[in-house]
Amino acid sequence: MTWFSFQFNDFSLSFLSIVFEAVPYLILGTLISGFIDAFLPSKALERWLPKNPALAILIGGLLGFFLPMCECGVIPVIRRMLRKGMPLAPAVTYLLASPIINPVVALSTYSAFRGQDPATVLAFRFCLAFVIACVVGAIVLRLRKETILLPALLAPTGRRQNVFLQPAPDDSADLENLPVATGKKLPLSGKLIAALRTASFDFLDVAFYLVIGAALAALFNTSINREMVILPLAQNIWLATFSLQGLAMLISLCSTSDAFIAANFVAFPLSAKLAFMVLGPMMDVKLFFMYGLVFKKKFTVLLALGLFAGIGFLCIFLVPFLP
Amino acid sequence: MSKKFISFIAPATLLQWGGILLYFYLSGRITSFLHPVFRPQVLIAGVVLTACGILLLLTRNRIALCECGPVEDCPDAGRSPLISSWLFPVILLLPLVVAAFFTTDQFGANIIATRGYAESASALPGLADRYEKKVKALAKAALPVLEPALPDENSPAAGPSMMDPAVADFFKPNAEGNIPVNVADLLYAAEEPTLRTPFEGQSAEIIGQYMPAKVGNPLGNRFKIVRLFMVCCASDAQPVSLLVERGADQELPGNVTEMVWTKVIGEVTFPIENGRTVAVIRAKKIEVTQPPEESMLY
Repeated sequence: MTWFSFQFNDFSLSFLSIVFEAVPYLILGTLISGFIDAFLPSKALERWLPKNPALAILIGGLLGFFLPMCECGVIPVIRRMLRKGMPLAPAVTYLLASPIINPVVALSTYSAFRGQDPATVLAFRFCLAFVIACVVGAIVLRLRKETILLPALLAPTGRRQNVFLQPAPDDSADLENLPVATGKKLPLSGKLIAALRTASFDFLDVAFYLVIGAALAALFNTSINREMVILPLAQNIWLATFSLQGLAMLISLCSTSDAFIAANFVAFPLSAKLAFMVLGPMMDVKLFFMYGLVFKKKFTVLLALGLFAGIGFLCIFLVPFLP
Repeated sequence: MSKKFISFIAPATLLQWGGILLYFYLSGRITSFLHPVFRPQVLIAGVVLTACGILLLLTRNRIALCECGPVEDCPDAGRSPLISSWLFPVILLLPLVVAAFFTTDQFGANIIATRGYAESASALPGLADRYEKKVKALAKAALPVLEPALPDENSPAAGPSMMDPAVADFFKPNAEGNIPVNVADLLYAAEEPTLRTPFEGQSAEIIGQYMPAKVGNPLGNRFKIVRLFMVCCASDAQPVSLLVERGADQELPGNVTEMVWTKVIGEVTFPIENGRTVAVIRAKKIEVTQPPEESMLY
């Protein structure tokens, strides 16, 4: 028995199942983002959120209860919200918190830990996720947007308020130097079409990174011998916590199901399972690539390292307080 | 890549993804990939993607413009720069097609080597909930006696007629007189005395995939019947197993090899081994069989 053993059929079966499970949520997220783009006035989110940045960050952390999104679907939504003028710090807080702090995950976590003090596990998971997301939001508040966001997301869309639909010019026309459009403004049906077109292109953008992330997750999921690699690490609190975090990043589970997998790791302490359940929905192999649609690479790397270390140390610090 | 090519490749990609999702759902292959709760979403996703692909095709010649040009090309469109590179169609088109057409619908033996077995019910998420009602009903009706008891004048005979109908159906033998069970049923029964008693000594029929037993096989006459327990999707499926014991004069059929679907008919026993109650089937009949309609357990 070796620690790594690859079989194409197992890999592709796992890859397809991850894609099939994620695609509906991705579509939901891109449809929401398309409609936000077509219908939400620019700067509306900036007006609706509290002016106090600390309060806005706290609201961002709790928004997932009212607008629950999984970690795949939230990325196109956030991208669109940022382009509509949502302040960056609460946007990042919402991005990290919403895949965990939502009613669906509450239910799945409670069910998964039935018989293992599920209320306490759920409370700790939510509190940890909220604290971590708000801390990251507070850090982002202190940083310059230009060091975090892709250039295309830096300026909110003010110019898209008037969208016109007209026959495309012929192929020889230079589309980048077209004169200002003079057609009629879009009726509701036109805006709906524009929303669906935006959603379609957003889906393609996100699906690109989903394919890469799903392939890597499937590779680790089906090729690494868990008994040889993971189980020996359960004996030491530090190794247990950081190894489960590493596993969470590699196998890229959906936040609705990771609690069931975490509950399985009976040999591992609760702090390690909490670290698994908090880090996974915030940062994994799949998300690392998908964040490339929003953040600069350097920020994504630093975010990954920061979350890994921060969540790990916080969970170990909590050991005396856990049942 | 030219804008004209992109204007074709985008709808083509959506139509391909939509088509693959619809194919898997309508052909029934989706049962090997997703838990039933998630399957209707694949149908909806397939329809939406196909519709969006058609929409992009139909609106190719009527583009939305804003003051800065085509909407999708606006500097603030947030479009991935990769959409115009050759990598985009390769990553989006090839892997899905290759995986869809070259994947069989079941895992091989390697998945057991990498994930290991869950050999107790407590390792299977949500399993206790499935049996909660049955355990309560059994406890309420007292231990059921499946052989007719001698009635006395003061109390009616115990038996299935006294039990909740759902519980009675659970233990009802098939036409051949064997109780159809699955691996999870007996795994849970081994740990739950109330559920164990109705099964003990009964003739049961179980279907699973054959694997040799490397542990718990002192006499070399045991093998494992394996199923995969799925929580959400095949990616999280956990192998679960049950021991089957051949009789002294019983040979394994020659066509039974690793991961082949096998039907075992035998007596259910719950011996205590290494301090644990385990479920072992003493086989009367072993034969290769067709895979069940649902290859995974939930």
